[in-house]
Order: sequence, then structure tokens, then C-alpha cells
Amino acid sequence: MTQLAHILAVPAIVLILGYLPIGRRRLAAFATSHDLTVTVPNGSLLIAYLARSARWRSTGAALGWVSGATFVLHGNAFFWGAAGYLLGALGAEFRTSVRLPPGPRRAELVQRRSKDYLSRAARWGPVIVLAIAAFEFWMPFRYPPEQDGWLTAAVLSVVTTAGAAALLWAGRWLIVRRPRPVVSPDVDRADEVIRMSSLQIIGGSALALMCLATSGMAFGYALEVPGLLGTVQTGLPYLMLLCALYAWFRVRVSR
Amino acid sequence: MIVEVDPDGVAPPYEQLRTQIAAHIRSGELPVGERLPSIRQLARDLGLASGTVARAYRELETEGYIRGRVGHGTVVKGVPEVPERDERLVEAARVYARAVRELGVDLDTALAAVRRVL
Repeated sequence: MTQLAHILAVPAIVLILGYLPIGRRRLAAFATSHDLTVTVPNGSLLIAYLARSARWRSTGAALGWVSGATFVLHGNAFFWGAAGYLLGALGAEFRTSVRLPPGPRRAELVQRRSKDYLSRAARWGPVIVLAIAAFEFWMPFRYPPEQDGWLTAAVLSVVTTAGAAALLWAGRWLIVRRPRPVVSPDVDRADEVIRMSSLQIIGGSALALMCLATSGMAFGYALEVPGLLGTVQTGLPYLMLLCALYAWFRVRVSR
Repeated sequence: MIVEVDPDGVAPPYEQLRTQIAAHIRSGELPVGERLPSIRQLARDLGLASGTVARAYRELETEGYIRGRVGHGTVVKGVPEVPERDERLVEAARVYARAVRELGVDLDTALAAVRRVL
């Protein structure tokens, strides 16, 4: 009974929160945090974006959590919930775009790059975590652990880290290359904010997953590593867990 | 800096695009070395085929306005030499004259339209 409550309670809360209608207060909070003035044309665009993205993310998170807990997948329900959240966030982006207006079409002669929308942590975090994952993957080959199954655990973790990184870059590609016709200043600004918000959310959640997978790799086996390298090896998994929390609670929601 | 393309206009979309980008470069709004959006990005934003934007870029490159390099994108090269500009001016005038004849408008109306746009 407790097991069933554990599996279903969190997804149920997540789904209820995700499917709540977007009220005036929620819209105002989003607009204020991005220094955006809500008007009639961009208000409907923002409400549609907030509702759609919340539904997709919460559905993904709930499905991920239930799958992880039910099938006892490698990792835990938190990890799979976050993975589902990331997939949901990516899914929502396929339906997000500003429609081309009828008649003459206008566009800006500016090259769009993901780095213009992302915070420094979201830009460089994945690169650093990939380097740490490579280091963690190399360590057991240099200092082979005594217990069996370390290679499977290492390969699984490094594949998960690389998979999260691939999803992150796919999301960036999708969002930055989405058409951006020039419609009116308020709609254009809302479109910029939507891109920025989506990129941060996908960037932060993917980075959190990468950190969790990398920490799992180091926790998976005990290595007898001498000297300073040993200290680094012991401390890295805890650092990665802290980084995962930072990525989820700061990078994902930063403006 | 904004470009506008009217799919129902008299001039073909690639020509509208080429003219506007060249004008931005001549006026200095697009300085030398400025990076232009990729062909795909501009085509998506304007709802045009990639080939249309590619043709505009190709013509601008032939005229000496822009330079495309693999791995570096397309950048502004500068304003071409005067004789080349004169040739382009005559060519543009010919294209406009052809459109004026097709529309059947008189000279004064045609010149007034040019003055309004310039």
C-alpha cells in the first residue's frame, strides 16, 4: 500500500499542478520575471505556451516517475521523473511557433544563436559535465575495482549522460531554428522570451540529468585510488549531486 | 534590421531580398564583416524556399556585396566598385522599366512610385 502511494502520489500531484488553467497571476508572474509587457496579441500566445508546456512537462514527468518506479529501472523514480520531464519539455516545442502573417513577410537580418538566449551555466555546464563523465569513465580502467559488473554500470551511466546531452543539443537546435517572422514588437518580444524560457528549462533539466548519471557512475563502484586523484574521485559524486540540484532549481528556472 | 518580402509583388522574392540587403550594405546599416543569417534561417523566417534565399545570396556574392565561407557563414564584404554599381543600377532600371510597361502606368506615376520608395 505504501509502495503504491509512493508510485502514484507524486505523479498525481505533478499532473494536477501541470493541468491547472493558466490564471492572470501566473501570466503576470511569467511576464514580470522576463520584463515583458502583456498585450492582447502576445497574451494569448503566452497563455497557450504556458499551458501547453506545463501539460507536456507534467505528463512526461508523471509517466517517467511511474515507469521508473514500476519497472525498477536503473536509477530511481526521481531520475526517471526528471527524464520524462525533459522529454515532455522537448515534445511541447514541436507545437510552439508564431504563425506567418498573411501578405508581406518580414524577418530580421540577424543570425540567431543559442548562446544569445542561455545563461553561462546552461551554456558551459554540459561541456564541463561531459568532461567529468569522461574522467569518471576512464578511472576504473586505470584503477580496476574488485567487484563485478562495474563495466556495465560505467557504460550505462556514460550512455545516459551522453543521451541527455544529445537531447539538450537537439532541443537547442529545434528552438533556435524555429521560424521567427517579424510580426509586431510585442509579439516579437514574447517569442524571444518563450525561446529563452524553453532553452533554460531544457538546458537545466538536461544538465541535472547529466549530473545525476555522472554521480551514479562514481557511486556504482569503490575504487582504490591513491593521493590527490583519490580525493577528487571520492568528492566528485557528491559535487555532481550538488550540481544536479543547482541545475534543477537554479539553471532551469533562471531568467 | 528588417527585410520584407511580398510573395505577390511584381518583382520575384529573390530580387526583393537581394535589393534590400544590397541597400542595407550600401547605407552602412550592415557594416563590413557583419554576419548574415544562414540561408535556412532566413528562408524559414520569411516562409520562402531555401533556394530562393540561396539565389539572392548567390547574386549578392557575384556582385561583390557579400562573401560566403564554409564554416564561417555569410559575411558582408563591402560596397562594390563604382563601375560595377553603375552596371547594377542600369540593370535594376531595366527590370523596373519592364515592370512599369507590364503594368501600363505612365512615366510620371512610375517616377513618383520610385521617389516614394527611395
